[in-house]
Amino acid sequence: MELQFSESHFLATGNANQVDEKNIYSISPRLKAFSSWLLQIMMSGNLGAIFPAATREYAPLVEELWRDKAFQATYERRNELLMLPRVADYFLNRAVEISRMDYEPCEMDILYAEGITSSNGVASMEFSFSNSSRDGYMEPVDQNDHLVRYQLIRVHADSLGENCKWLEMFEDVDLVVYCVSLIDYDEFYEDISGVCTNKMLASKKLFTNIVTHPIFAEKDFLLILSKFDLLEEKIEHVPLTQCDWFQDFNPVISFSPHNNNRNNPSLAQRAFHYIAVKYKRLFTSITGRKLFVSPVTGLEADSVDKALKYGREILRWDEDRYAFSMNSTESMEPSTSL
Amino acid sequence: MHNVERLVAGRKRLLLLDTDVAGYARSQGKTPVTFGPTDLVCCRTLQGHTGKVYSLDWTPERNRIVSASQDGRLIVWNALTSQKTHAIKLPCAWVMTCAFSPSGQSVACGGLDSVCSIFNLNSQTDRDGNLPVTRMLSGHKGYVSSCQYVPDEDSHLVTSSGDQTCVLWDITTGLRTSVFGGEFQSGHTADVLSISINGSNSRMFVSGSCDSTARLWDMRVASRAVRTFHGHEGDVNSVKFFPDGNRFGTGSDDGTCRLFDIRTGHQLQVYYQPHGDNDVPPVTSIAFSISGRLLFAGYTNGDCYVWDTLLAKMVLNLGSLHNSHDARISCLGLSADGSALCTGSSDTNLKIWAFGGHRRVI
Repeated sequence: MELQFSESHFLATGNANQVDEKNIYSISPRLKAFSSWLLQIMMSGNLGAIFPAATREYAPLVEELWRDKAFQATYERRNELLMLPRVADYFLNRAVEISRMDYEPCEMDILYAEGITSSNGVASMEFSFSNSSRDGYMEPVDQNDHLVRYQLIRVHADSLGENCKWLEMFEDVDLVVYCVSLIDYDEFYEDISGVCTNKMLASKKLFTNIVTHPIFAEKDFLLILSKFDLLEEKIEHVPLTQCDWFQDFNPVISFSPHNNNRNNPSLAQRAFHYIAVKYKRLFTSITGRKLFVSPVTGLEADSVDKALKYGREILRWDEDRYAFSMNSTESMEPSTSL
Repeated sequence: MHNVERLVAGRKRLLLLDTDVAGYARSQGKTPVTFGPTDLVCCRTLQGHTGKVYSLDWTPERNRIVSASQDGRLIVWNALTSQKTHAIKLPCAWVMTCAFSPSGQSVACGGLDSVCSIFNLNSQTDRDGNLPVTRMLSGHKGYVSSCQYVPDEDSHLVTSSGDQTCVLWDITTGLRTSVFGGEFQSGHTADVLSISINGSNSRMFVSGSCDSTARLWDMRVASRAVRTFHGHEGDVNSVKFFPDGNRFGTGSDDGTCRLFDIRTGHQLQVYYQPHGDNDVPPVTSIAFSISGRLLFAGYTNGDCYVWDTLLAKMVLNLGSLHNSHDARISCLGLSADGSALCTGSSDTNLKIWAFGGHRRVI
């Protein structure tokens, strides 16, 4: 992607910034040869043939390419590169270190890698809430909660077909946890035919499909709006109205001289609230029931913990309602954030 | 019992326009097959799965069955003794289909992991007592809904997928020999849910899809389907070739089963019975008796109808019999010699039904 970009700049004529034949986006022939070769391998679908075996050998070249001024200049304009993963710099800065044979990924690495790797689509894990995480209002009966096993099933919607026929396999889940990335509102993904779709609208569509599916007619849904920290960055220069669904976002920002945070929610908070209400209204219009919503910042364990506990509360309310106890419960979490 | 063959031989087929097999048969004085209370009974209940059973398959010759369940396991059963000979823990618990190889030496399965995994039943188990995967057939971009080995070929099988394609695989190399449908070719326009290879002509297979159609394919021509069969008004969950290979049956979310003729493309018969005020439950799976006179259909409400294919009458509901499943029937299949039917259900059990309590061919 970067290579194509710099190529076209190299060939462009009449660029006012050109001093000589090359411009700030041109890389050396040697690096160009390396990246051409790498691109060819990617296109042939054979990336697995050279990685991971050759990572150590190529890591210095990757780092050199990354630190190259031309590369960095292109990277400065990454907002124009729709398909580039946001987390590119996190890994590329440490290309050599990560490529070492003995490198062990840390928790942060794993969190950052989520979404840019192609997993097999379905993953699940069982867990219990540890006894030590005591909430102030916990009743005596809750103290046995650490014995209750929960199963969280992660489903990547894009690898599972359009019809959601596979949803029938999840008819026994107790809670559907639907994750939406708050920063998807101006991002697009491109399908095989080159058609670009707004990611937030795609989320809305999938959400609607799942909620209207007869299997989930009576199920509780917990909407997770994630990447709040990134929303705070983005909302300052990219308006929410970039997304067709959010055309009527018109927050009244009062410029109070006191600037009291409690009385004056930030733009990001307003945006979060607005998006939550959009989804809630959509859900209620379909089901007549209430949608539970929770913000999450994936890189902050606390916020994830809070959301999961909210999920647990919802399940408990269900239990009270039906007045029978279950030994294990399940959740399903389709994610459209790539 | 052989009237069906005589009925549709040669030029008479041309006279049979859509859905008139039953009318013709009645005009010929045919009477429906009748079942007395002891004619078809549940003679075995195979218990062992701890989750819903999604799929089952018999071996082509000996009486073994492989079943796949939501508990993430394949179990191989001896149908005569109810013994479990293998319990295979799967890498991905979300399995949707399983199949026995023609030699009975291997089983294949697939599901939400988009991969078809092959297990050789004779291989040594690893340290944890698990059977290792012999081959993983990956390439599908969606879930694997159904798989079937090519008759007499342990080395080839066909899969259907949520990615709208069917694929013929060479198991020895793990590569795709042909892709039917998909981005660059015309094929199904929605998830493909089921396939059935023609027992009389194993080059041909039929597929059923969420696009409400069934399509006939020639394995040598992947670029387009030989014929597309319309008629259903909902997802086609199950397709099965009729024993003579000239027709095939389908079962759908629209609650009907249908019989199609592959040469003319005509819909020959609809098998449908109103359920009073209730919604007609979807058909999950179908199978034909050896002669084709009977069509077995499993429904989501636990019913398992036995249809007289000739006269389009429901002659028995296994769901109403003693000892029947008390939940959705998700899969069913007839043994190779036709003497027994096996049903799999959301109640985690499999049941074997035999004619007259003794197994004889019908």
